[in-house]
Formats: sequence, structure tokens, C-alpha cells
Amino acid sequence: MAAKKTMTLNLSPAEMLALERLAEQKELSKTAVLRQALRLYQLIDARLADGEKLFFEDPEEKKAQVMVL
Amino acid sequence: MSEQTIQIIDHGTGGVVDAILHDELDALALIEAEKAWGPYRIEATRRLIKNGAPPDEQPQHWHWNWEKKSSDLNLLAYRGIGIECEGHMQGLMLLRTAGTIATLNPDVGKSLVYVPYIESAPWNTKALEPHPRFGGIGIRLFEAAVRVSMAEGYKGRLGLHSLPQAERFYRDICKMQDCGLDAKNPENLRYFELTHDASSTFLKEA
Repeated sequence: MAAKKTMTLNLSPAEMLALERLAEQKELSKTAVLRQALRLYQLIDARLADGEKLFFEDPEEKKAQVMVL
Repeated sequence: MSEQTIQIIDHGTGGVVDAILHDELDALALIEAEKAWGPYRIEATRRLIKNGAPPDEQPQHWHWNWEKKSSDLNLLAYRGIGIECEGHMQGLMLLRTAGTIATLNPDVGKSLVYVPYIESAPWNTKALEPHPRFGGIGIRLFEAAVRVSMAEGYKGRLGLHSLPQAERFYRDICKMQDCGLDAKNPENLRYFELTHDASSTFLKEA
């Protein structure tokens, strides 16, 4: 495993609260939540750059395109 | 790329032999492996068809190509794992560590590691080779996937879609729960999931 680097992250109280809630809900550390968010951001960005589209699907299977990133 | 020594079965001697588990393969490693695997896989499949093997005895993954999957490793969400012995890759696995959540209670909504592809080298595959060279490759790769899930904080949770020929392996050996046919899977494959509890059981027995 490559050596990890440390950084200081400045978050607003609301952002920190959201991070803490996600970490609690997902039973992950805050670092793991942010790491997963970065992986998803990069994955989605790469696929959009390749011309793919991202959809959210409601339970009735009506699709709506969402704009991300 | 980090590595550790593990043991696999040498069918030639009936004993075990040391192998190297690589847990961060790069794209080049997949390309190099496919150079050796691809022609062997296709030739073995061609031989089976020529000898009149019925369709359900022909390997369902004969068309896989690790070179085409190699570009996924340029993304942080993917991870390549391989087992090397005698200078050759004996098994490969691709993992996705973001973007998939558990569907089974009590883990619903929690992150898991998804396994898009896992394959033993064609010369280790019973469906392709009457006298496989090495064994235990699939189970060692699966164990590595569980350990990645643990290290990521996902508590051993895994998910995958299985080819019909591999369903029994995941259900009976790997302790995964069969969640049924997934209508949203492009190949309409069955979805299997390993819960946190089942992963603990699996590791105790591995």
C-alpha cells in the first residue's frame, strides 16, 4: 500500500455535520466517507467525459436526468 | 503495488506451494496476463466445441478480456488483485470500492465492495483444462476481497453477479446469499451478497 499523505480540511459547521451524519449512517470513519466521495466523483466525472449520462431512477421507473459535477 | 506470500494447491504434487498475492495491480499487469490467458482460453474453448462438448459444459467466460478491463485501474474506485506463481498470473480479480451498497438486512444501505470480475488462469480452470495446474485460486482471491472490504471499513461486505457455472461456488463455499436473478443486470445474472456476519464466518473457515 502506498504511503498516505495528510491534509487539513476546513469545513463549515453544516458541512461537518453532514459529514458526521453520513459517517454515522454508513458506519464509516469520516476519512472513509471522504475517500469514497472522491472515488465516486472521479468515476462519474470520467464516465460523463466519455459521453455517458447519469440518471436517478424513482420507484415507478420514471427516469430523470440529473446534472452533476 | 504491495504483495504478500500465500499458499495455493499444486495439483502436480498434491501439496501446497507458495504464491504471491498482489493487492494493487496496475493496468500493465492485466495486459500482460491477458497476453498469456487469451490465446489459451480461446484455444481450449475451440477444442471443447470441436470435441462436441454441450453448451452447458463450455466456459461461459470464454470471451472475457482483461486488457479491456485494464483502463478501469486508472480510476480510484477500482482495484486489481492477482495471484502469481512460477512467474505467471494464476488468478485475477477486479474490485470496485465505491458506488455499491448492501441490499440485505441488517446491512441495507451500507457500503460494500463489488466484484465485477474474478477468474482463475485458464490452465487452472477445470472447464477448460482436464488437468488443472494449480487450485484454490478462487477462494484465495475471494478471501482477499473480503479483507479489502474490511480494510475499507465495509466490514467484509461484498456483492457480485455470478455466471451460472459459478453460482454453487459463491453460495456453498463463499457463504454468499443468493438474492435471485437481477432483472437490471445486462446479462440477467443472479446477484449474490456477503453480509458482515457471513464474512466473519467465511474468514474463520478460510
